[in-house]
Amino acid sequence: MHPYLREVDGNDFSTRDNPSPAFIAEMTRRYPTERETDTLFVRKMQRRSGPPYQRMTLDELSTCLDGLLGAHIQGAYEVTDRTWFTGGVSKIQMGFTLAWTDPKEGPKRERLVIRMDPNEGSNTTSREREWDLLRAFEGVIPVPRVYWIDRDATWFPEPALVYAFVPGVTKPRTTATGRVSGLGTNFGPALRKVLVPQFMAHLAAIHTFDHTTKPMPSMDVPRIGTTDNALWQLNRARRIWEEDRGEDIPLVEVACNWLERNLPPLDRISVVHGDFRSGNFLFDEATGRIDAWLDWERGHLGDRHRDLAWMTDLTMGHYGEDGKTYFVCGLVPQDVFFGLYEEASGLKVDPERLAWYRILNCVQILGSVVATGYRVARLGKSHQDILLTRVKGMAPTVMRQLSNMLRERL
Amino acid sequence: MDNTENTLRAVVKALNDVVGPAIDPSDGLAREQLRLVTDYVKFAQQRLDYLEARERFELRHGLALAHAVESISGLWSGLVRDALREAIATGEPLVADASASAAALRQATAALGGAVRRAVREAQGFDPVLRRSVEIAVLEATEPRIRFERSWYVPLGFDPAPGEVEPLERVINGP
Repeated sequence: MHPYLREVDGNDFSTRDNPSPAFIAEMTRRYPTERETDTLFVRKMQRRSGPPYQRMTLDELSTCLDGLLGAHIQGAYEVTDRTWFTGGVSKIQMGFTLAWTDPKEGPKRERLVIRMDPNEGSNTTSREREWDLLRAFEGVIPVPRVYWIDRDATWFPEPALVYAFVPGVTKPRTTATGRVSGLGTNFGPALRKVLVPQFMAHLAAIHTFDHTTKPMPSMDVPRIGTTDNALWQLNRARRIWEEDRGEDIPLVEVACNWLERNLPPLDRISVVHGDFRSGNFLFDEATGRIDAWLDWERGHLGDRHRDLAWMTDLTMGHYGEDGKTYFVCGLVPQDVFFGLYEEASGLKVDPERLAWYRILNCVQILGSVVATGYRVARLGKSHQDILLTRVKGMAPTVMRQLSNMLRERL
Repeated sequence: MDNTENTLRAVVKALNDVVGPAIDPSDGLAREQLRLVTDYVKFAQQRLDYLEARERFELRHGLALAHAVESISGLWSGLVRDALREAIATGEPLVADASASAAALRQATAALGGAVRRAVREAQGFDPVLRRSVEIAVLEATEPRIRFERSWYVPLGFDPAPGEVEPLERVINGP
Protein backbone atom coordinates (compact mmCIF):
# COMPACT_ATOMS: atom_id res chain seq x y z
CA MET A 1 0.00 0.00 0.00
CA HIS A 2 1.28 3.50 -0.84
CA PRO A 3 2.40 5.34 2.34
CA TYR A 4 -0.24 8.04 1.99
CA LEU A 5 -2.97 5.45 1.52
CA ARG A 6 -1.67 3.57 4.53
CA GLU A 7 -2.07 6.79 6.49
CA VAL A 8 -5.65 7.20 5.27
CA ASP A 9 -6.83 3.60 5.12
CA GLY A 10 -4.54 1.77 7.54
CA ASN A 11 -5.18 0.77 11.14
CA ASP A 12 -2.81 3.15 12.92
CA PHE A 13 -4.97 6.10 13.83
CA SER A 14 -2.17 7.88 15.67
CA THR A 15 -1.24 9.28 12.25
CA ARG A 16 -4.24 11.62 12.73
CA ASP A 17 -2.26 13.40 15.45
CA ASN A 18 0.03 14.87 12.82
CA PRO A 19 -1.62 14.43 9.42
CA SER A 20 0.47 14.86 6.30
CA PRO A 21 -0.48 17.37 3.58
CA ALA A 22 -1.37 14.36 1.40
CA PHE A 23 -3.82 13.08 4.02
CA ILE A 24 -5.45 16.50 4.32
CA ALA A 25 -5.75 16.85 0.55
CA GLU A 26 -7.21 13.36 0.32
CA MET A 27 -9.98 14.28 2.78
CA THR A 28 -10.98 17.25 0.60
CA ARG A 29 -10.90 15.08 -2.52
CA ARG A 30 -12.72 12.11 -1.05
CA TYR A 31 -15.41 14.00 0.87
CA PRO A 32 -16.43 17.18 -0.97
CA THR A 33 -18.61 19.43 1.15
CA GLU A 34 -19.50 23.11 1.55
CA ARG A 35 -16.61 25.49 0.92
CA GLU A 36 -16.72 27.04 4.40
CA THR A 37 -16.75 23.58 6.01
CA ASP A 38 -13.82 22.46 3.87
CA THR A 39 -11.82 25.56 4.81
CA LEU A 40 -12.46 24.98 8.51
CA PHE A 41 -11.58 21.29 8.38
CA VAL A 42 -8.39 21.88 6.42
CA ARG A 43 -7.39 24.53 8.97
CA LYS A 44 -8.17 22.13 11.83
CA MET A 45 -5.98 19.39 10.36
CA GLN A 46 -3.13 21.74 9.42
CA ARG A 47 -2.96 22.99 13.01
CA ARG A 48 -3.53 19.65 14.72
CA SER A 49 0.09 18.95 15.55
CA GLY A 50 0.38 22.34 17.24
CA PRO A 51 0.53 22.83 21.00
CA PRO A 52 -2.31 21.83 23.35
CA TYR A 53 -4.81 24.35 24.65
CA GLN A 54 -3.66 26.28 27.68
CA ARG A 55 -6.23 28.08 29.75
CA MET A 56 -5.98 31.81 29.27
CA THR A 57 -6.37 34.14 32.20
CA LEU A 58 -9.10 36.76 32.21
CA ASP A 59 -6.36 39.38 31.79
CA GLU A 60 -4.95 37.65 28.71
CA LEU A 61 -8.38 37.38 27.12
CA SER A 62 -9.05 41.02 28.02
CA THR A 63 -5.89 42.07 26.20
CA CYS A 64 -7.23 40.39 23.07
CA LEU A 65 -10.58 42.05 23.63
CA ASP A 66 -8.88 45.44 23.87
CA GLY A 67 -7.37 44.85 20.45
CA LEU A 68 -10.76 44.11 18.92
CA LEU A 69 -12.58 46.96 20.68
CA GLY A 70 -9.82 49.43 19.84
CA ALA A 71 -10.22 48.59 16.17
CA HIS A 72 -14.01 48.99 16.21
CA ILE A 73 -14.89 51.67 18.75
CA GLN A 74 -14.22 55.33 18.07
CA GLY A 75 -13.46 57.02 21.38
CA ALA A 76 -13.16 55.85 24.94
CA TYR A 77 -14.57 52.67 26.41
CA GLU A 78 -14.29 50.76 29.64
CA VAL A 79 -14.43 47.01 30.29
CA THR A 80 -15.42 45.83 33.79
CA ASP A 81 -16.98 42.84 35.62
CA ARG A 82 -15.16 40.12 33.69
CA THR A 83 -16.25 36.56 34.51
CA TRP A 84 -15.93 33.11 32.99
CA PHE A 85 -19.16 31.54 31.77
CA THR A 86 -19.81 27.83 31.96
CA GLY A 87 -22.23 26.02 29.71
CA GLY A 88 -20.22 26.39 26.54
CA VAL A 89 -19.19 22.82 25.78
CA SER A 90 -17.49 23.73 22.57
CA LYS A 91 -16.62 27.41 23.10
CA ILE A 92 -14.69 29.47 25.63
CA GLN A 93 -16.91 32.24 26.96
CA MET A 94 -16.21 35.34 29.04
CA GLY A 95 -18.81 37.83 30.20
CA PHE A 96 -17.96 41.53 30.65
CA THR A 97 -19.59 44.92 30.99
CA LEU A 98 -18.77 47.50 28.32
CA ALA A 99 -19.29 51.25 28.75
CA TRP A 100 -18.98 52.91 25.34
CA THR A 101 -20.65 55.23 22.86
CA ASP A 102 -22.61 53.37 20.20
CA PRO A 103 -22.59 55.54 17.04
CA LYS A 104 -26.30 54.81 16.51
CA GLU A 105 -27.62 54.73 20.06
CA GLY A 106 -25.24 57.00 21.97
CA PRO A 107 -23.57 56.29 25.31
CA LYS A 108 -24.45 52.93 26.79
CA ARG A 109 -23.34 50.43 29.35
CA GLU A 110 -24.17 46.81 28.65
CA ARG A 111 -23.30 43.25 29.45
CA LEU A 112 -21.64 41.36 26.58
CA VAL A 113 -20.17 37.91 25.94
CA ILE A 114 -17.05 36.79 24.05
CA ARG A 115 -17.37 33.40 22.40
CA MET A 116 -14.07 31.98 21.24
CA ASP A 117 -13.09 28.60 19.80
CA PRO A 118 -10.60 26.44 21.70
CA ASN A 119 -7.62 25.16 19.64
CA GLU A 120 -9.88 22.31 18.60
CA GLY A 121 -13.32 21.60 20.03
CA SER A 122 -16.12 19.06 20.08
CA ASN A 123 -17.16 20.33 16.68
CA THR A 124 -15.41 22.39 14.07
CA THR A 125 -17.80 25.17 13.21
CA SER A 126 -17.84 28.62 11.75
CA ARG A 127 -18.02 31.85 13.75
CA GLU A 128 -18.83 33.56 10.47
CA ARG A 129 -21.96 31.45 10.00
CA GLU A 130 -23.00 32.18 13.54
CA TRP A 131 -22.53 35.87 12.75
CA ASP A 132 -24.56 35.65 9.51
CA LEU A 133 -27.43 33.82 11.19
CA LEU A 134 -27.60 35.92 14.33
CA ARG A 135 -27.79 39.05 12.18
CA ALA A 136 -30.36 37.50 9.86
CA PHE A 137 -32.70 36.50 12.70
CA GLU A 138 -32.49 39.70 14.73
CA GLY A 139 -36.11 40.83 15.06
CA VAL A 140 -37.44 37.53 13.68
CA ILE A 141 -37.03 35.34 16.76
CA PRO A 142 -35.24 36.15 20.03
CA VAL A 143 -31.48 36.11 19.46
CA PRO A 144 -28.65 38.01 21.15
CA ARG A 145 -27.63 41.14 19.32
CA VAL A 146 -24.27 40.47 17.72
CA TYR A 147 -21.64 43.22 17.76
CA TRP A 148 -18.25 42.19 16.46
CA ILE A 149 -16.50 39.21 14.92
CA ASP A 150 -12.83 38.27 14.78
CA ARG A 151 -13.13 36.02 11.73
CA ASP A 152 -9.48 35.32 11.16
CA ALA A 153 -8.20 35.36 14.74
CA THR A 154 -6.62 38.78 14.24
CA TRP A 155 -6.96 39.82 17.88
CA PHE A 156 -7.83 36.57 19.65
CA PRO A 157 -5.82 33.32 19.37
CA GLU A 158 -8.85 31.72 17.67
CA PRO A 159 -11.89 33.09 15.80
CA ALA A 160 -14.26 34.84 18.20
CA LEU A 161 -17.58 36.64 18.36
CA VAL A 162 -18.94 39.30 20.73
CA TYR A 163 -22.66 39.47 21.39
CA ALA A 164 -25.09 40.80 23.96
CA PHE A 165 -25.53 38.91 27.19
CA VAL A 166 -29.08 37.70 27.59
CA PRO A 167 -30.16 36.91 31.14
CA GLY A 168 -32.07 33.72 31.73
CA VAL A 169 -31.70 30.01 32.34
CA THR A 170 -31.45 26.98 30.06
CA LYS A 171 -33.24 24.71 32.55
CA PRO A 172 -35.19 25.13 35.78
CA ARG A 173 -32.81 25.87 38.63
CA THR A 174 -34.29 23.08 40.74
CA THR A 175 -33.98 20.20 38.25
CA ALA A 176 -31.15 17.71 38.44
CA THR A 177 -31.72 16.80 34.77
CA GLY A 178 -29.94 18.28 31.76
CA ARG A 179 -26.56 18.46 33.47
CA VAL A 180 -24.65 17.83 30.26
CA SER A 181 -25.42 20.69 27.91
CA GLY A 182 -29.15 20.65 28.74
CA LEU A 183 -29.69 17.25 27.10
CA GLY A 184 -32.76 15.50 28.52
CA THR A 185 -33.88 18.46 30.61
CA ASN A 186 -37.16 17.89 32.47
CA PHE A 187 -38.94 21.27 32.48
CA GLY A 188 -41.99 19.96 34.37
CA PRO A 189 -45.64 20.28 33.29
CA ALA A 190 -46.17 23.99 34.10
CA LEU A 191 -43.15 25.29 32.16
CA ARG A 192 -43.78 22.90 29.28
CA LYS A 193 -47.20 24.45 28.75
CA VAL A 194 -45.72 27.95 28.37
CA LEU A 195 -42.58 27.01 26.45
CA VAL A 196 -44.06 24.68 23.82
CA PRO A 197 -45.97 27.29 21.73
CA GLN A 198 -42.88 29.52 21.58
CA PHE A 199 -40.58 26.59 20.81
CA MET A 200 -42.74 25.50 17.87
CA ALA A 201 -43.28 29.05 16.57
CA HIS A 202 -39.55 29.80 16.63
CA LEU A 203 -38.73 26.57 14.85
CA ALA A 204 -41.33 27.35 12.18
CA ALA A 205 -39.96 30.89 11.77
CA ILE A 206 -36.46 29.52 11.15
CA HIS A 207 -37.55 26.90 8.64
CA THR A 208 -39.80 29.26 6.66
CA PHE A 209 -37.32 32.16 6.66
CA ASP A 210 -36.51 33.49 3.18
CA HIS A 211 -32.74 33.16 3.08
CA THR A 212 -32.48 35.42 0.02
CA THR A 213 -33.53 38.46 2.06
CA LYS A 214 -30.36 38.58 4.16
CA PRO A 215 -26.68 38.26 3.29
CA MET A 216 -25.30 34.84 4.14
CA PRO A 217 -21.95 34.77 2.35
CA SER A 218 -20.60 31.92 4.46
CA MET A 219 -23.21 29.47 3.14
CA ASP A 220 -23.38 27.50 -0.07
CA VAL A 221 -26.89 27.30 -1.52
CA PRO A 222 -27.91 23.75 -2.42
CA ARG A 223 -30.02 23.17 -5.53
CA ILE A 224 -33.63 22.09 -5.03
CA GLY A 225 -34.36 18.72 -6.60
CA THR A 226 -30.76 17.56 -6.22
CA THR A 227 -28.89 15.61 -3.56
CA ASP A 228 -26.26 18.38 -3.11
CA ASN A 229 -27.28 19.19 0.41
CA ALA A 230 -27.61 15.61 1.64
CA LEU A 231 -24.22 14.69 0.18
CA TRP A 232 -22.52 17.75 1.72
CA GLN A 233 -23.91 16.85 5.13
CA LEU A 234 -23.01 13.17 4.77
CA ASN A 235 -19.49 14.06 3.67
CA ARG A 236 -19.12 16.44 6.59
CA ALA A 237 -19.96 13.60 8.99
CA ARG A 238 -17.74 11.08 7.15
CA ARG A 239 -14.86 13.48 7.18
CA ILE A 240 -15.12 14.01 10.94
CA TRP A 241 -15.16 10.24 11.41
CA GLU A 242 -12.15 9.84 9.12
CA GLU A 243 -10.08 12.68 10.51
CA ASP A 244 -10.68 12.22 14.23
CA ARG A 245 -11.35 8.63 15.23
CA GLY A 246 -9.01 6.36 17.15
CA GLU A 247 -10.89 3.11 16.52
CA ASP A 248 -13.12 1.43 13.97
CA ILE A 249 -16.83 0.83 14.41
CA PRO A 250 -17.96 -1.12 11.32
CA LEU A 251 -21.59 -0.26 12.12
CA VAL A 252 -20.74 3.33 11.15
CA GLU A 253 -19.40 2.09 7.80
CA VAL A 254 -22.66 0.24 7.14
CA ALA A 255 -24.60 3.41 7.97
CA CYS A 256 -22.45 5.51 5.62
CA ASN A 257 -22.98 2.98 2.82
CA TRP A 258 -26.76 3.13 3.31
CA LEU A 259 -26.79 6.92 3.51
CA GLU A 260 -24.78 7.23 0.30
CA ARG A 261 -27.15 4.89 -1.55
CA ASN A 262 -30.26 6.73 -0.37
CA LEU A 263 -29.41 10.43 -0.59
CA PRO A 264 -32.72 12.33 -0.50
CA PRO A 265 -33.23 15.16 -3.01
CA LEU A 266 -33.98 18.56 -1.47
CA ASP A 267 -37.62 19.66 -1.70
CA ARG A 268 -37.18 23.15 -0.22
CA ILE A 269 -34.32 25.29 1.03
CA SER A 270 -34.67 26.09 4.72
CA VAL A 271 -32.36 27.70 7.19
CA VAL A 272 -31.31 24.80 9.40
CA HIS A 273 -30.34 25.85 12.93
CA GLY A 274 -28.29 22.70 13.41
CA ASP A 275 -28.69 22.37 17.18
CA PHE A 276 -32.29 23.40 17.93
CA ARG A 277 -33.04 21.77 21.30
CA SER A 278 -33.32 22.24 25.02
CA GLY A 279 -30.12 23.68 26.44
CA ASN A 280 -29.77 26.07 23.53
CA PHE A 281 -32.45 28.60 24.44
CA LEU A 282 -32.52 30.97 27.39
CA PHE A 283 -35.81 31.67 29.13
CA ASP A 284 -37.11 33.71 32.02
CA GLU A 285 -37.91 31.19 34.73
CA ALA A 286 -40.68 33.30 36.28
CA THR A 287 -42.66 33.87 33.07
CA GLY A 288 -41.41 31.08 30.82
CA ARG A 289 -40.66 33.57 28.05
CA ILE A 290 -37.90 32.47 25.65
CA ASP A 291 -35.47 35.39 25.35
CA ALA A 292 -32.70 34.01 23.16
CA TRP A 293 -31.80 31.18 20.82
CA LEU A 294 -28.10 30.35 20.96
CA ASP A 295 -25.52 28.09 19.31
CA TRP A 296 -26.15 28.71 15.62
CA GLU A 297 -22.72 27.46 14.69
CA ARG A 298 -23.95 24.29 12.96
CA GLY A 299 -26.40 26.32 10.88
CA HIS A 300 -26.61 25.89 7.13
CA LEU A 301 -28.99 26.15 4.22
CA GLY A 302 -30.57 22.79 3.63
CA ASP A 303 -33.25 20.36 4.65
CA ARG A 304 -35.57 21.10 7.60
CA HIS A 305 -35.68 17.37 8.33
CA ARG A 306 -32.12 17.63 9.64
CA ASP A 307 -33.34 19.80 12.54
CA LEU A 308 -36.46 17.68 13.04
CA ALA A 309 -34.45 14.47 13.23
CA TRP A 310 -31.92 16.09 15.57
CA MET A 311 -34.39 17.38 18.11
CA THR A 312 -36.42 14.15 18.16
CA ASP A 313 -33.35 12.04 18.87
CA LEU A 314 -33.74 9.97 22.05
CA THR A 315 -30.70 11.58 23.68
CA MET A 316 -32.36 15.02 23.54
CA GLY A 317 -35.56 14.35 25.49
CA HIS A 318 -36.95 12.17 28.27
CA TYR A 319 -39.91 10.05 29.28
CA GLY A 320 -42.58 11.89 31.26
CA GLU A 321 -44.08 11.46 34.68
CA ASP A 322 -46.27 8.58 33.43
CA GLY A 323 -43.19 6.68 32.24
CA LYS A 324 -44.75 6.25 28.78
CA THR A 325 -44.93 9.64 27.08
CA TYR A 326 -41.68 10.64 25.40
CA PHE A 327 -41.14 14.41 25.41
CA VAL A 328 -39.20 15.77 22.44
CA CYS A 329 -36.49 18.03 23.92
CA GLY A 330 -38.28 17.62 27.25
CA LEU A 331 -41.14 19.72 25.90
CA VAL A 332 -43.48 18.24 23.31
CA PRO A 333 -45.13 14.81 23.48
CA GLN A 334 -43.73 12.84 20.56
CA ASP A 335 -47.13 11.77 19.22
CA VAL A 336 -48.22 15.38 18.63
CA PHE A 337 -44.85 16.93 17.78
CA PHE A 338 -44.98 16.61 14.00
CA GLY A 339 -48.63 17.70 13.82
CA LEU A 340 -47.81 20.85 15.77
CA TYR A 341 -44.82 21.49 13.51
CA GLU A 342 -46.83 21.14 10.30
CA GLU A 343 -49.50 23.43 11.70
CA ALA A 344 -46.99 26.07 12.80
CA SER A 345 -44.84 26.02 9.67
CA GLY A 346 -47.19 24.97 6.88
CA LEU A 347 -44.42 22.54 5.85
CA LYS A 348 -44.87 18.80 5.46
CA VAL A 349 -42.87 16.20 7.33
CA ASP A 350 -41.68 13.42 5.05
CA PRO A 351 -41.04 10.22 7.07
CA GLU A 352 -38.47 8.97 4.53
CA ARG A 353 -36.39 12.14 4.66
CA LEU A 354 -36.75 12.18 8.41
CA ALA A 355 -35.43 8.61 8.62
CA TRP A 356 -32.45 9.49 6.43
CA TYR A 357 -31.51 12.43 8.64
CA ARG A 358 -32.03 10.36 11.80
CA ILE A 359 -29.46 7.89 10.55
CA LEU A 360 -27.13 10.71 9.51
CA ASN A 361 -27.48 12.31 12.93
CA CYS A 362 -26.51 9.06 14.64
CA VAL A 363 -23.36 8.98 12.52
CA GLN A 364 -22.71 12.61 13.36
CA ILE A 365 -23.20 12.07 17.10
CA LEU A 366 -20.92 9.02 17.03
CA GLY A 367 -18.41 11.19 15.20
CA SER A 368 -18.52 13.72 18.02
CA VAL A 369 -18.61 11.43 21.04
CA VAL A 370 -16.38 8.59 19.80
CA ALA A 371 -14.06 10.25 17.29
CA THR A 372 -13.68 13.98 18.02
CA GLY A 373 -13.94 13.67 21.79
CA TYR A 374 -11.16 11.10 21.76
CA ARG A 375 -8.83 13.06 19.48
CA VAL A 376 -9.32 16.43 21.16
CA ALA A 377 -8.69 15.01 24.63
CA ARG A 378 -5.76 12.89 23.44
CA LEU A 379 -4.04 16.05 22.19
CA GLY A 380 -5.32 18.28 25.03
CA LYS A 381 -6.86 20.71 22.58
CA SER A 382 -9.81 22.18 24.45
CA HIS A 383 -10.97 23.69 27.71
CA GLN A 384 -13.47 20.83 28.12
CA ASP A 385 -11.40 17.71 27.44
CA ILE A 386 -12.79 15.97 30.50
CA LEU A 387 -16.37 16.52 29.36
CA LEU A 388 -15.57 15.47 25.80
CA THR A 389 -14.27 12.12 27.02
CA ARG A 390 -17.25 11.58 29.31
CA VAL A 391 -19.81 11.84 26.50
CA LYS A 392 -18.46 8.63 25.00
CA GLY A 393 -20.97 7.12 27.41
CA MET A 394 -23.67 8.17 24.92
CA ALA A 395 -22.21 5.96 22.18
CA PRO A 396 -23.99 2.66 22.99
CA THR A 397 -27.39 4.38 23.08
CA VAL A 398 -26.73 5.92 19.68
CA MET A 399 -25.29 2.70 18.25
CA ARG A 400 -28.40 0.84 19.35
CA GLN A 401 -30.66 3.41 17.71
CA LEU A 402 -28.58 3.30 14.55
CA SER A 403 -28.55 -0.48 14.39
CA ASN A 404 -32.33 -0.68 14.88
CA MET A 405 -33.00 1.88 12.16
CA LEU A 406 -30.67 0.19 9.69
CA ARG A 407 -32.24 -3.23 10.33
CA GLU A 408 -35.60 -1.81 9.26
CA ARG A 409 -34.17 -0.49 6.02
CA LEU A 410 -31.51 -2.88 4.75
CA MET B 1 -0.60 -6.19 45.93
CA ASP B 2 -1.71 -3.45 43.57
CA ASN B 3 -3.20 -0.48 45.40
CA THR B 4 -4.55 1.51 42.44
CA GLU B 5 -8.19 1.23 43.48
CA ASN B 6 -7.32 2.37 46.98
CA THR B 7 -5.30 5.26 45.56
CA LEU B 8 -8.16 6.37 43.34
CA ARG B 9 -10.35 6.49 46.44
CA ALA B 10 -7.72 8.76 48.03
CA VAL B 11 -7.66 10.90 44.89
CA VAL B 12 -11.42 11.53 45.12
CA LYS B 13 -11.14 12.36 48.82
CA ALA B 14 -8.28 14.80 48.23
CA LEU B 15 -10.16 16.50 45.40
CA ASN B 16 -13.33 16.84 47.42
CA ASP B 17 -11.81 17.71 50.79
CA VAL B 18 -8.83 19.85 49.83
CA VAL B 19 -8.95 21.00 46.22
CA GLY B 20 -12.70 21.75 46.01
CA PRO B 21 -12.83 24.26 48.88
CA ALA B 22 -9.75 26.04 47.50
CA ILE B 23 -11.41 26.80 44.17
CA ASP B 24 -12.51 30.37 43.55
CA PRO B 25 -16.32 30.21 43.96
CA SER B 26 -16.75 32.51 40.97
CA ASP B 27 -14.84 30.12 38.69
CA GLY B 28 -17.77 28.05 37.47
CA LEU B 29 -15.70 26.16 34.90
CA ALA B 30 -13.22 24.99 37.55
CA ARG B 31 -16.02 23.82 39.85
CA GLU B 32 -17.76 22.00 37.00
CA GLN B 33 -14.55 20.29 35.95
CA LEU B 34 -13.78 19.19 39.49
CA ARG B 35 -17.16 17.43 39.63
CA LEU B 36 -16.53 15.78 36.25
CA VAL B 37 -13.06 14.64 37.35
CA THR B 38 -14.22 13.11 40.64
CA ASP B 39 -17.14 11.45 38.84
CA TYR B 40 -14.80 9.90 36.30
CA VAL B 41 -12.31 8.71 38.88
CA LYS B 42 -15.18 6.95 40.70
CA PHE B 43 -16.19 5.37 37.37
CA ALA B 44 -12.59 4.23 36.79
CA GLN B 45 -12.55 2.68 40.28
CA GLN B 46 -15.58 0.58 39.33
CA ARG B 47 -14.03 -0.52 36.03
CA LEU B 48 -10.46 -1.11 37.14
CA ASP B 49 -10.90 -4.85 37.72
CA TYR B 50 -12.39 -5.30 34.25
CA LEU B 51 -9.84 -3.52 32.06
CA GLU B 52 -8.09 -6.66 30.86
CA ALA B 53 -11.41 -8.43 30.36
CA ARG B 54 -12.48 -5.48 28.22
CA GLU B 55 -9.45 -5.83 25.95
CA ARG B 56 -10.25 -9.51 25.55
CA PHE B 57 -13.92 -8.83 24.88
CA GLU B 58 -13.00 -6.39 22.13
CA LEU B 59 -10.67 -8.92 20.53
CA ARG B 60 -13.33 -11.65 20.55
CA HIS B 61 -15.85 -9.17 19.15
CA GLY B 62 -13.44 -8.19 16.38
CA LEU B 63 -12.88 -11.84 15.51
CA ALA B 64 -16.62 -12.54 15.44
CA LEU B 65 -17.14 -9.60 13.07
CA ALA B 66 -14.27 -10.61 10.81
CA HIS B 67 -15.40 -14.25 10.64
CA ALA B 68 -18.99 -13.21 9.90
CA VAL B 69 -17.87 -11.00 7.02
CA GLU B 70 -15.12 -13.21 5.65
CA SER B 71 -17.38 -16.24 5.35
CA ILE B 72 -19.98 -14.50 3.16
CA SER B 73 -18.46 -13.56 -0.12
CA GLY B 74 -16.21 -15.19 -2.62
CA LEU B 75 -15.95 -11.79 -4.29
CA TRP B 76 -13.60 -10.01 -1.91
CA SER B 77 -10.63 -8.39 -3.57
CA GLY B 78 -7.26 -9.90 -2.75
CA LEU B 79 -6.45 -6.91 -0.54
CA VAL B 80 -9.56 -7.30 1.61
CA ARG B 81 -9.45 -11.09 1.74
CA ASP B 82 -5.79 -11.06 2.79
CA ALA B 83 -6.42 -8.37 5.42
CA LEU B 84 -9.32 -10.34 6.90
CA ARG B 85 -7.44 -13.65 6.95
CA GLU B 86 -4.26 -12.14 8.31
CA ALA B 87 -6.12 -10.29 11.07
CA ILE B 88 -8.00 -13.45 12.03
CA ALA B 89 -4.81 -15.51 11.99
CA THR B 90 -3.09 -13.01 14.29
CA GLY B 91 -6.06 -12.52 16.61
CA GLU B 92 -7.20 -16.08 17.18
CA PRO B 93 -4.15 -17.42 19.08
CA LEU B 94 -4.25 -14.39 21.37
CA VAL B 95 -7.71 -15.27 22.67
CA ALA B 96 -6.32 -18.26 24.50
CA ASP B 97 -2.96 -16.68 25.34
CA ALA B 98 -3.16 -15.55 28.96
CA SER B 99 0.25 -13.91 28.68
CA ALA B 100 -0.68 -11.66 25.74
CA SER B 101 -0.02 -8.02 26.58
CA ALA B 102 -2.72 -5.36 26.45
CA ALA B 103 -0.83 -3.72 23.59
CA ALA B 104 -0.82 -6.97 21.58
CA LEU B 105 -4.56 -7.47 22.18
CA ARG B 106 -5.28 -3.89 21.15
CA GLN B 107 -3.19 -4.12 17.99
CA ALA B 108 -4.90 -7.34 16.94
CA THR B 109 -8.33 -5.80 17.59
CA ALA B 110 -7.41 -2.74 15.51
CA ALA B 111 -6.31 -4.95 12.61
CA LEU B 112 -9.61 -6.85 12.72
CA GLY B 113 -11.60 -3.60 12.81
CA GLY B 114 -9.61 -2.20 9.90
CA ALA B 115 -10.09 -5.32 7.80
CA VAL B 116 -13.85 -5.31 8.40
CA ARG B 117 -14.01 -1.59 7.59
CA ARG B 118 -12.30 -2.19 4.25
CA ALA B 119 -14.66 -5.08 3.55
CA VAL B 120 -17.79 -3.02 4.24
CA ARG B 121 -16.51 -0.21 2.04
CA GLU B 122 -15.76 -2.66 -0.74
CA ALA B 123 -19.20 -4.24 -0.36
CA GLN B 124 -20.78 -0.92 -1.39
CA GLY B 125 -19.86 -1.93 -4.95
CA PHE B 126 -21.36 -5.45 -4.72
CA ASP B 127 -24.71 -6.51 -6.10
CA PRO B 128 -27.53 -5.68 -3.66
CA VAL B 129 -28.05 -9.24 -2.35
CA LEU B 130 -24.42 -9.82 -1.49
CA ARG B 131 -24.01 -6.35 -0.10
CA ARG B 132 -27.03 -6.83 2.13
CA SER B 133 -25.57 -10.08 3.46
CA VAL B 134 -22.38 -8.30 4.44
CA GLU B 135 -24.15 -5.36 6.05
CA ILE B 136 -26.62 -7.52 7.98
CA ALA B 137 -23.76 -9.69 9.20
CA VAL B 138 -22.08 -6.58 10.61
CA LEU B 139 -25.27 -5.45 12.33
CA GLU B 140 -25.82 -8.86 13.91
CA ALA B 141 -22.23 -9.24 15.03
CA THR B 142 -22.37 -5.72 16.53
CA GLU B 143 -25.26 -6.53 18.90
CA PRO B 144 -23.07 -8.07 21.65
CA ARG B 145 -20.80 -5.03 21.45
CA ILE B 146 -23.74 -2.68 21.99
CA ARG B 147 -24.97 -4.72 24.96
CA PHE B 148 -21.47 -4.74 26.41
CA GLU B 149 -20.92 -1.00 25.92
CA ARG B 150 -24.27 -0.20 27.54
CA SER B 151 -23.24 -2.19 30.60
CA TRP B 152 -19.79 -0.63 30.65
CA TYR B 153 -20.98 2.97 30.46
CA VAL B 154 -24.24 2.80 32.39
CA PRO B 155 -22.75 4.42 35.54
CA LEU B 156 -22.14 7.61 33.53
CA GLY B 157 -25.90 8.16 33.36
CA PHE B 158 -26.57 8.55 29.63
CA ASP B 159 -28.59 5.39 29.03
CA PRO B 160 -32.29 6.26 28.64
CA ALA B 161 -33.34 2.82 29.93
CA PRO B 162 -30.77 1.86 32.58
CA GLY B 163 -33.14 -0.68 34.09
CA GLU B 164 -32.85 -2.94 31.08
CA VAL B 165 -29.04 -2.92 30.95
CA GLU B 166 -27.46 -6.30 31.74
CA PRO B 167 -24.87 -6.68 34.51
CA LEU B 168 -21.35 -6.17 33.19
CA GLU B 169 -20.20 -9.53 34.57
CA ARG B 170 -22.73 -11.30 32.36
CA VAL B 171 -21.84 -9.62 29.04
CA ILE B 172 -18.12 -9.11 29.36
CA ASN B 173 -17.34 -12.79 28.86
CA GLY B 174 -19.36 -13.00 25.63
CA PRO B 175 -19.97 -12.97 22.74
